[in-house]
Amino acid sequence: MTENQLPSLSKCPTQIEGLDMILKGGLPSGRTSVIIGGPGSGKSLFGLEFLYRAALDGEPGIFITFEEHAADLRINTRTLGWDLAPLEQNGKLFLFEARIDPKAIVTGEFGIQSFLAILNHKIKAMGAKFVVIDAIDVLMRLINDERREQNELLALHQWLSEHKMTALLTVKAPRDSNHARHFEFLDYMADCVIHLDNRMLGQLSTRRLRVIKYRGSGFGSNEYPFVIEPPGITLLPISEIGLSHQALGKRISTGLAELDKLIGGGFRRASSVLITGSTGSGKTTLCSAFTHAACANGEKVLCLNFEESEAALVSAMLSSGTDLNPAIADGKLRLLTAMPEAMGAEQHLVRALNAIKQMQPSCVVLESASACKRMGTEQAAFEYMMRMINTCKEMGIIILITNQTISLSNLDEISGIGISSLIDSVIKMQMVEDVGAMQRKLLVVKSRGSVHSHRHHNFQISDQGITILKEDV
Amino acid sequence: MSAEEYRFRLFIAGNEPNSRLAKQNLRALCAAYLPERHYIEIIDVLQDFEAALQAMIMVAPAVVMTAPRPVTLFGALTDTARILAALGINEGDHHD
Repeated sequence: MTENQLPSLSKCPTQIEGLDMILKGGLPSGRTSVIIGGPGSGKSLFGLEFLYRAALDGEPGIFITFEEHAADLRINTRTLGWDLAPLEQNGKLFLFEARIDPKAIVTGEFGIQSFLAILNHKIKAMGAKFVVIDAIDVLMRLINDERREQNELLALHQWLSEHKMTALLTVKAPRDSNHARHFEFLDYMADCVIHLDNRMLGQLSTRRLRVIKYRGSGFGSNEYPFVIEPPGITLLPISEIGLSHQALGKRISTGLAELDKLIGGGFRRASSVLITGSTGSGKTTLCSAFTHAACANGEKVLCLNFEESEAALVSAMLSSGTDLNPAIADGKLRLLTAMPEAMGAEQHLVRALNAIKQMQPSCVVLESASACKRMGTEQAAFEYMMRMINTCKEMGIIILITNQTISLSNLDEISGIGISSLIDSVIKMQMVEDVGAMQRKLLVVKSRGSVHSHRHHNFQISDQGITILKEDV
Repeated sequence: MSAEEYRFRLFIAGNEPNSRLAKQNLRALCAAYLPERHYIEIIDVLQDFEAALQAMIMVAPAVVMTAPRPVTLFGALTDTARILAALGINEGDHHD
């Protein structure tokens, strides 16, 4: 290090998915950070996940709980798939129950020396570098005197600094401004301050995180949605994602030899395909033909379905000649079904991204864009679709998306929720009245990087699946 | 008047002022109201953190009355009337 180079702020990764990107590396090492949020906002879990991941790497940490029972923490974290017991047994994690008797009577001044004496011993015995204090407001309410609260907080802060602890203090957000004074002081004292909130959007609750201060460091300053789902907390820093799409790749069959010809040889890898049409126009049948053929050719396909259950979808496809069961049985095909209303868009997204991470599919089929709107707000559905398409494009995955249009021939409805610029190919399926009978027609509206047909093509759906008829004019 | 024995565990943090004050106040109160029927155990949390951890005592000074009934008090024990009420002792039981 030369003389005019200052040592950069050392950071400690939290290993919480997405958070280190927002914090540009992690929490400040050897310093105190504060996380403020309302009841149920997930602040304890942020602290616990940080210590849990560190403990898994062999870095010991202490979780001090002023409110919850250690036994409850062990049970609650099991739902995320975490097993704390072995880490506690081998001295990598200590759940320090510091519950304060709510019936205790206060008469005269007191200090937190007892707490610090216990903490001091445990830190030395374990060689701990990380400490989470959940929730410091319990202690402050007990003191209930502004000057003494600040003195105790300062003493605690100084003590943690002297012991070179990377500390995270959680604080319950005040419901009214009478108690805001604690938080102003904490904001001032801490080196890094994170706010959490849990609000209702379009009848679904949405968790958000915002970093409001980070002394000596830059940070992502937006509000970031997050979800709590196994295997832990996931933040979705959408606005931090640079577009790093792969170039459109080699073609694979659409599953219909005739359609391959119309679209220039097949769907290209890393491309997004929108299949649009009114209800009953054959969108799902087309997707199933593709899925079936792709699996038979050794591709792995993940189907995200928001319209039907797995069993209903498989049996519906059997009637049009496509048996998806063998592909499911040998792991080439995975169906992930859920009602759009079942959870928020962020949670749907995390489930889908986890499934992609696990399965590593080469194709994703998403049914449907129109159903995604029922995840909450249009904005949430848009972010879901955008993130799904981006992820697939970054990973070289082909994504097929169906979209149900309401009227029979409304081209403007193609994209549904404003994703058209991310869509490479559009196939439109219609039923039109033709000489007294309904005729099914298919049109390749666009296909980037391909020479494709611009005509309407008649097709039929039978128990053999889709058959595209000879070209008509 | 009952002859129940009162047992106290007083948690102090070394020789700091509030702890000294609590020790004085508790001794004076016992001498005045509970002569010959009290027992005080003094625990210095700076020496014996394990006892503090087990009793879940995070602040000092603190008094845990274990008999005749459980009561916990935090602080330097400055408000005698409140303490007597909390411990269930009649002010009229004063012995000079």
